[in-house]
Amino acid sequence: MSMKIYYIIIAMIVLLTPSCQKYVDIPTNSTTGRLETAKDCQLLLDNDAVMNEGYPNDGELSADDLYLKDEGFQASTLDQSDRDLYVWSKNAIRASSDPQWLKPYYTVYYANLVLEQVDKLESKGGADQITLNTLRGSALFFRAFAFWQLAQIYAPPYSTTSSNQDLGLPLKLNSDISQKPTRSSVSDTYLQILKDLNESSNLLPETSLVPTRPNKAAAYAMLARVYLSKEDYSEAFIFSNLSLKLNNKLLSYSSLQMNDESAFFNAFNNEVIFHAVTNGNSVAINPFDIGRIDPELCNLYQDNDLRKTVIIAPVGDGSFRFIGNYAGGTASSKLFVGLATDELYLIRAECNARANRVVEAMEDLNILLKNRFTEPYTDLTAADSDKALTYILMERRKELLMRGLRWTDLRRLNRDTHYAKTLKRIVMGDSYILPPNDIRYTLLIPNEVIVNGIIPQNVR
Amino acid sequence: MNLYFKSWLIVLLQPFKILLRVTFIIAFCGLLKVNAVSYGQRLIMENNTSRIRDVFKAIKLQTGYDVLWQENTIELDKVIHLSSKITSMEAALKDCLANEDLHFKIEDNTIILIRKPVIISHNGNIVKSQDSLVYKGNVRDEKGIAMPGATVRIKGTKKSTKTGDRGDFEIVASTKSILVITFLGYVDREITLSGRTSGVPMEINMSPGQNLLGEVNIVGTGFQELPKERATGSFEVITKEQLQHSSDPNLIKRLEGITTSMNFNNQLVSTNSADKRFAVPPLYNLTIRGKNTINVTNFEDNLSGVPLVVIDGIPNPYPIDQVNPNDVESITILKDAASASIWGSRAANGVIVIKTKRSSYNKPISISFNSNLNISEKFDLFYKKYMSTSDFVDALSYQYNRQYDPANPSAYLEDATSLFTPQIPLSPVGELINQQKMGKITAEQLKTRLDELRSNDIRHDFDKYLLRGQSTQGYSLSIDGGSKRVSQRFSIGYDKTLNNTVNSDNSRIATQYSTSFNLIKNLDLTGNLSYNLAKTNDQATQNVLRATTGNGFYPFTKLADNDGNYLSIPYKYRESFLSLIKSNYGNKILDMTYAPLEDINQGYTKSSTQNINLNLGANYRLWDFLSTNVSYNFNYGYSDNTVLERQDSFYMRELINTYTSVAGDRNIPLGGQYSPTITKRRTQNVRGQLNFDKSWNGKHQLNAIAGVDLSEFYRLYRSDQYYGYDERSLLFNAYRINYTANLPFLWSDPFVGISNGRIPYNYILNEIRNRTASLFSNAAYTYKNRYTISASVRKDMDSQFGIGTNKGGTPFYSIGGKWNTANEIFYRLDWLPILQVRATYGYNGNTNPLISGLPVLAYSSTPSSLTGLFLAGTSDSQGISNSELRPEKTGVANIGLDFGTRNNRFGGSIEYYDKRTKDLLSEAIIDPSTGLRRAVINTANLHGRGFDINLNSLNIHTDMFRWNTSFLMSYNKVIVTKLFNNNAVVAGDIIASTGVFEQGKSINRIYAYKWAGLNPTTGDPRGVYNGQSVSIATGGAGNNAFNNIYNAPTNTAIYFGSSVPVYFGSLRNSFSYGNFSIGFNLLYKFDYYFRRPPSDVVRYSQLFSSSSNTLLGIEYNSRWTKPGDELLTNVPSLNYPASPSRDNFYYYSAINVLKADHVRLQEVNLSYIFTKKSWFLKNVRVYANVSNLGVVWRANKLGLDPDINDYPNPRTYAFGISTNF
Repeated sequence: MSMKIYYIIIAMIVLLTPSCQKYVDIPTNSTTGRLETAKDCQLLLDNDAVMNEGYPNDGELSADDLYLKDEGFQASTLDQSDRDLYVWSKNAIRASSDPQWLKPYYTVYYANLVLEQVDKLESKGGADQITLNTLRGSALFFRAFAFWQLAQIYAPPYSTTSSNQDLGLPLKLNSDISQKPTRSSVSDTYLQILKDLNESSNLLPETSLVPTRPNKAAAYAMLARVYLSKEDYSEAFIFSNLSLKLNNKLLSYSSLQMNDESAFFNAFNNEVIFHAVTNGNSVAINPFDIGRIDPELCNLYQDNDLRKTVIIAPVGDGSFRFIGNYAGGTASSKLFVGLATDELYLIRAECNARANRVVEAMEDLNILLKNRFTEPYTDLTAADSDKALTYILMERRKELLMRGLRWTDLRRLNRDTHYAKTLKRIVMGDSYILPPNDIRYTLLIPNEVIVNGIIPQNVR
Repeated sequence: MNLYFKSWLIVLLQPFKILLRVTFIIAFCGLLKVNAVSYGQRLIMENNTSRIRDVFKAIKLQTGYDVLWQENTIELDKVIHLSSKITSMEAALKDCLANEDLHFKIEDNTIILIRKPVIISHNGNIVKSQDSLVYKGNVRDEKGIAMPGATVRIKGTKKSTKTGDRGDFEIVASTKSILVITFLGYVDREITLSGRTSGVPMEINMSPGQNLLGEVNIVGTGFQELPKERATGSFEVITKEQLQHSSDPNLIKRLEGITTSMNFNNQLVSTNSADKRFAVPPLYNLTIRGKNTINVTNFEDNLSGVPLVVIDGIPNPYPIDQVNPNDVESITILKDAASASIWGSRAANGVIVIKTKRSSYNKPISISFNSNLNISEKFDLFYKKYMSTSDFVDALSYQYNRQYDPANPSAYLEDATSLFTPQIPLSPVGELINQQKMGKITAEQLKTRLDELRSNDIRHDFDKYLLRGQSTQGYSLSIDGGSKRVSQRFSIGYDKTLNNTVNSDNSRIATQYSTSFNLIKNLDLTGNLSYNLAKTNDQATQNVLRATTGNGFYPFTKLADNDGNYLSIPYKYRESFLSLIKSNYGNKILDMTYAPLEDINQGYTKSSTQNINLNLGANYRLWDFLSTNVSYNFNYGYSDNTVLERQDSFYMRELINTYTSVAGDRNIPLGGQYSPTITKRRTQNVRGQLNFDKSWNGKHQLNAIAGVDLSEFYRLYRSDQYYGYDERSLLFNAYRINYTANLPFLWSDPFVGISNGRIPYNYILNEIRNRTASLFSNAAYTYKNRYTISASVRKDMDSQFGIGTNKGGTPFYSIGGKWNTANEIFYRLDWLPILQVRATYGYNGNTNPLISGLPVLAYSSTPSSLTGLFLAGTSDSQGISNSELRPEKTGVANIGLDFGTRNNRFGGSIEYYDKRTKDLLSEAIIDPSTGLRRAVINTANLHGRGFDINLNSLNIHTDMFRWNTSFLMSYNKVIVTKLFNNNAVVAGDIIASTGVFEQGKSINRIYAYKWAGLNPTTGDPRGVYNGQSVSIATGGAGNNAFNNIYNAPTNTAIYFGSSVPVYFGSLRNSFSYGNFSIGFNLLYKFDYYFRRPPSDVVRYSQLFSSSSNTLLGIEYNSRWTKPGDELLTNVPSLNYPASPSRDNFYYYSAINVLKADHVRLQEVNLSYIFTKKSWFLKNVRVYANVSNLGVVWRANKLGLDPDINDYPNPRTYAFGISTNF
């Protein structure tokens, strides 16, 4: 008897299962869905909070442009790890991976999702080739941009002699979270970045709807920046030149609307090629919190330099804060670290100077400065390439203040004894020193990554 | 207190109004009639001659009385002559029974026909055969009281009699006969006559409760109801009587103290109704047989780790908090695989099956009413001993002087000069010192003003203006009854609670109507319709004033002056900034002062939730052993939540001002902000089921069910927002508001400095639809009432698993067996009539809506504020690329032993279980290099073990006095056997982080840093690193030392033990004397440890943080101040700036971990039953209950209650009355 019943039940299960499966196969949420179409991919890439925001700022915290007054240093809102990083403490380490490490890797995750979906769409002809090319090019660009930002902080500077052995980044090239990446070499890290950027420069359209979406000029500009950071000046020249050919617009600072308290620049202003900002929760970096600009640097701006009032502004106590944020007028720590034409003029000028093309170098520098100084502006001249380079590097620091580039520049320039600099801070009477090429120029990877991942920590 | 009584009396009258309405409803239904009943009922017949059947029918129709009789005792078609056409009911009955040996008795709207005691003549003329003799007996209940009306039947024949008024009977039977004595609510007794002497009365004792109707021995799984003797699994049944121990309006809370294996809360945070952060439904904090998840949090949309609730056979039709406990017939808790696997993929955390009350056929009408009043004392904000406000003032002067160098008198904070960059307030103490330094006040004035602050305490103001005692009034009324073919029950319940802070209350109305029809032979239809309405009122969501300390207000803040006028306080902006903008902008901006007590009246949060539930069922009996039933459930819930922030609230004034231009143009119109949100939920469920139940040859019994279940859940959520809202005219201004532009602020945000932004808006539209389909079956076979085997199988499909992922997967199954030892022939232990052993094994699952191995996109309904482009994100918690995701499974083995001595003097059960969860799906920290740091992945394997003991004894039993004890004990330990993400963990992680686990270690455990005393020269706390004691001083070196200790290997942490009770349960004693009874319930929790609550321990960074301003624990007074103190104290010295590392180290050090074992007197109950009937009240029971009486024994020496973080739940007194009409 009981066996019979079970035969009936088994038959029932066999018969009913397929129709039940049909019954439950429905989308469950109006606002969620599967990643399927090319449009879905574009929607992901347009998520600017993920793709264009949250880049690390620990480089700026460690570099010499930022300055904290003693009471700022003691502020209760400042984490101890911020204080440790600021004074280059030997064991300065972030406990949490969020945001410094996590946010760029989240960008990489999105980029990988899109790349995987574009592969699928290509194989079944899911969308037109131009759309797919743009998507692939954008995803590759974002991935490279994020990797480069991370490499500036957590991997040692590029060196032609040791890059094959130096530990670079874990290169996460798929979206599957069950596959943990290991650390590649520094040379592989840069190879991957350049490979992605080269491919994207071939795929991307010349212009894009908004600067949060990458385009060809952005890919070239990023290539120029990457080559510069690995001291490949001839390549950096080529790409800065290519990018400026597509977009060489500059803002004339004298035409800006003046307002003594709030920020000046609009997001997406004429100089912006690609919009990207750092994470927004850092009290030290936030100019409207405790972050101040090194007084020595502030003194370098000449009186007829508009940047003295447009990029920095005095705070009541005699110190200066940074107000020249290209990300638009928010007084948060979301500082612009994207690509802009002023940086490209400076890259091209530097490459020209290094290639002994003094006239071309000074021409680029003067075009830029003409837009920065009050009228009448007298062109700077340089007798030789060294002199030109000194001018250019000085203007580079003044122009690209708080753009997330100073730390990279220090790491790069320290390798040349001419331009090497020993950093010094005095905090509450104690002085701290960071000599050139110190091991601390590579920051410790956040503890959470070491605990939960499979990668070795940087040496100390 | 008097006030409550008064209001209670007034509202006590309300039920009578309700009664009138109910009467109307019944009349409307027309099937049952309620008349004011008296024995002199008039009866109108058509003829003087009538059949008995027709007389009875007329009685039923005209008076509502049921007539009951033993079958074959009366000839219904016999024609009788009535004395008159218009007669009394009693006269008619007498006429009917004139020539019968029957008399009648009226009880409970029922007429019972009873055979007159047989008078046997000694010449034996009624003795029919030679071997038949007259046997006499006397039937008594468990208390020794005579039982009239019990049926005495000769087994195997239809011959029977009933006992008379004194419980006596006489019956003619053969010497080989067996008598079967039956009585509703009692265990059948069989008496073998051979060997007994005829004529000598036998004493027959009946024991209650063993074979009855919805009583203890029926277990409900939500699919079927099984006699407990045949159930192999682990079921715990809670009856409606047991639920009466408490008068809590929340059903789940009533289960505490009367169930085993349920742990209600590991870390109790008392809920202050102004502070919604901890107002979590009690279900979410409940674990059955230990934690089965390593999730740190639970959300409404993710019930993973939460027990499944089944109400009348439907899983989660509506929140359990909406159930009126008075409507509950019984609750069955399913704990092991055999009981729970019938619920398949959702059963791993245990299942709570609730059966609501129904009427039954042939039941006289009864009306019952219950009313109770619960009153809780006010929260005692002074329960914890803190540092004095005077010391707090000193600490803040110390802070100010460290900020602004005392050696340099000119160092102070200037008045605000910038209209755009606001100053945040200094502490009021700092502000006063600052004013003195600026020369605005003199040194004497400063001292006087500071002394004023010293004498204030904000807790007095909270106590006076914000807190109140909580009171709950509850009423419920039900009417039920049934005729032969129709049964009906209607109930209505109303609860109203004034919460423990002002401006906060809630109410609930629950109504239910259920009916069943026996439409044609073998076909029963059932219907159940319920409607619930729950309402809450609270403070508006912005600027909530929480009646707790440490929420940002300085402890010496005065909220009102001595005359009760509300005062404004410095808030968010420094006074000098506010006067600057006032003098500059004048009337262009709204006033910016903030008076907290006034502000709470400038808005509200109101919510109402309505729920309609319809249940339709049909049961058709195909043959006597096979039936089929189909049921349909429809549930519709509608919640409406509105928040109003009036224009005069600080939030609104600040918002309007921020979006005002320098010229004075307002971008946000004057008026309030009105934000309604609406949630609609709809659940539908269809189930078809075949039931097989047959016994044959007197040896075999087979019971099986199989069916299919389809359900759909749909939810729509919508939120809107209106500015410029005017309450009277309902006008609002939505058209001219510019939501798209990034507008410049009039001044930047004082804390984060943001200087422009978009006007906040909140429009959301979201729909969720989910379907499940399940196929299920189970069967139990019993041989000779001794051996039972059972098996179950179920397959689930769920759209939450995601499109295309429902294929494959193994069904959940279970097997079980039971040996009823006491039924064996060889069994001779008369004193132990109940003895059975059972064992089961099987698999349960756990639905986790968050799992999907494929990326899920969340489309944003609003475009990016930066680019204006629409966008999408992957939702971290919903679907991520994971190629290794596997379904989770829990295997459970359960062994149980049930026993009971004669007369139920002592009995109980012991169960042992072993639970192994494989591939536990849980949110875990993953490698951040993947782009995500938390994801739902297969995290771990768990192994839980434990036992549940349930013992009941009747210690003393005399005619008047009874003493019962019940002892419940649970033991549970859960170990993480495997972690799939087993990474290097350091000491600091296992000490301070939640959600960090170790292979081979318990899931709940507590560690601490090794403590090496205070530094004798600085008073800094000291830890141990590399065998050396190191100071955790403020500053770089101390921080490095802390980092080193934090990052040391895990074996440097000191292990204490479990952080949740390993042994827990309750001891209940109840005494009754006559109609009076009293009960005490002690709860105990043993073998675990706790860390002192943060509010007890000094954390200087909290003292100086302007966002918390916490009064530190009283141990502040015994802090280290001078060398030598380290011998007397462990409290570190005061330091500014405070170092969070130093505070952390001290808080997490070994000296702050204590043994948590404690015993708590949870409640005392009193009740009295009036047996004397008044003219219409019956079974009047009055009761009182006191709960949260506090800890009676604890292991720690500091007098701490380990369950309490801040304030204890106040004592609650309840009074109530229940009665039948």
